[in-house]
Amino acid sequence: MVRNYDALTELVAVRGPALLATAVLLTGNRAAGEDLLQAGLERMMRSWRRVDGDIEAYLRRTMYHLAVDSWRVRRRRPEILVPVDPPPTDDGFERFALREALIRALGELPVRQRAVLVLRYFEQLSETEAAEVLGCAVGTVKSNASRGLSRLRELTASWEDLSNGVSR
Amino acid sequence: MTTRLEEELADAMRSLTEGLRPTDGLVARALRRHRRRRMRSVAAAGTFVALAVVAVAAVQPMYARLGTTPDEPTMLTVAAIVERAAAALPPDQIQHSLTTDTRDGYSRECWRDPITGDSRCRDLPSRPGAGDTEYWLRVRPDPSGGKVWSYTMVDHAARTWTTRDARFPDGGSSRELEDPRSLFERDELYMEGEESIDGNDTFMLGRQIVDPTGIFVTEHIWVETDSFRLVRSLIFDSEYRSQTDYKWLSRDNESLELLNPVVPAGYSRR
Repeated sequence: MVRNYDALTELVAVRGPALLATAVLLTGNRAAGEDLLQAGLERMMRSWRRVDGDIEAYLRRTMYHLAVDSWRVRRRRPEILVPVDPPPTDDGFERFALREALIRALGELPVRQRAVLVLRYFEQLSETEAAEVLGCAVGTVKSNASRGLSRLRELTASWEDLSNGVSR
Repeated sequence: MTTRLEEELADAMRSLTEGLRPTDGLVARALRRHRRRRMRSVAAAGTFVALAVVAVAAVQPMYARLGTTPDEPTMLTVAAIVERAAAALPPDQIQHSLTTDTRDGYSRECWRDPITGDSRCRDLPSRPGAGDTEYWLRVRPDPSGGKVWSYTMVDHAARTWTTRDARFPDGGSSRELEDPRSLFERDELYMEGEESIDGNDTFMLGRQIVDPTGIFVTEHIWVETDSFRLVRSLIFDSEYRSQTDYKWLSRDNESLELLNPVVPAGYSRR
């Protein structure tokens, strides 16, 4: 029996960049991100009969679950978090360096915290929506977001204004 | 209210991912991996794909919805999987199980009739000096109430056999082979993921248990994604591993005959 996966091909053609962006943020690098996206597609093919409705939402949910499940199954690495200092000059390079530092620090977070931060600040989902994607309680999203941000704040504590600064 | 950290984090994530595009052939690669995986089970899959489609259509309305709008995708919750797995345990088929246990160094093959409670197990030695025994349990109603349990035990190493009867009130004793239904009656299962076992796609569930000695052990349970049939259970900790694989046989003369005690010729009675 040959199944038709044209809908997946079309989805990747149109939404591939956005899906890969999410996968890269969840895994920390481009190669692992593409592996995660491919694994998500393969998992959808295995479950194709049960997929109903918005296939992009299903694929995103699958990728988040794959990322979090792989963390659950693997023994957690010991976390060695090294604070990142800002460069000495205060120009455009500082902002670039700060972003680099935040991305590095994001990659060091436990993947559930990382997933929550990606959902909240990259996907711009509400806490309730993020909880639905991850299949957990809203309180779990809140606590993971809080812990994740707190870790990032610790790691970038040397940047003045960042830790306590409030915008808007 | 958004802190500067949150703004910078969002900007950093957008900067990192700007301009990313998947490499060509991503879907084709996923499809090749999917087909390789399916190749291993093509013979079995070919026969029950039609049944699976019917089954999925039948249970589709029961699927739990995480979202609230009709367009959102469906995904089974762990509770829904556990409920279906318990319901999928055949009430009228002979259960076959093969357990390998690293602590005692044996493999144990068992058959169990869920209707009568009759069972048969054979311990297969996996190291020199380990026992090689086989025993049958037949459960029959006691005319005076309760049940009569008739044990027959054969020691293949010593070439001896023995038998004895025991009477228990209803609900008495705990030496009957464990009903796998109990795997689904305890709470706190969570989803570990999905795995392919012998070519069959399965849900992998897990739970943490504190055993009677106070040691934390992990239990994993696999059920088929299509039929929700129990496939495997595994209990392990850092020094111990006990895995049981399950199959079900039609309850016919051939399988019921497996539950009748057989003493090989030349064995002496103890």
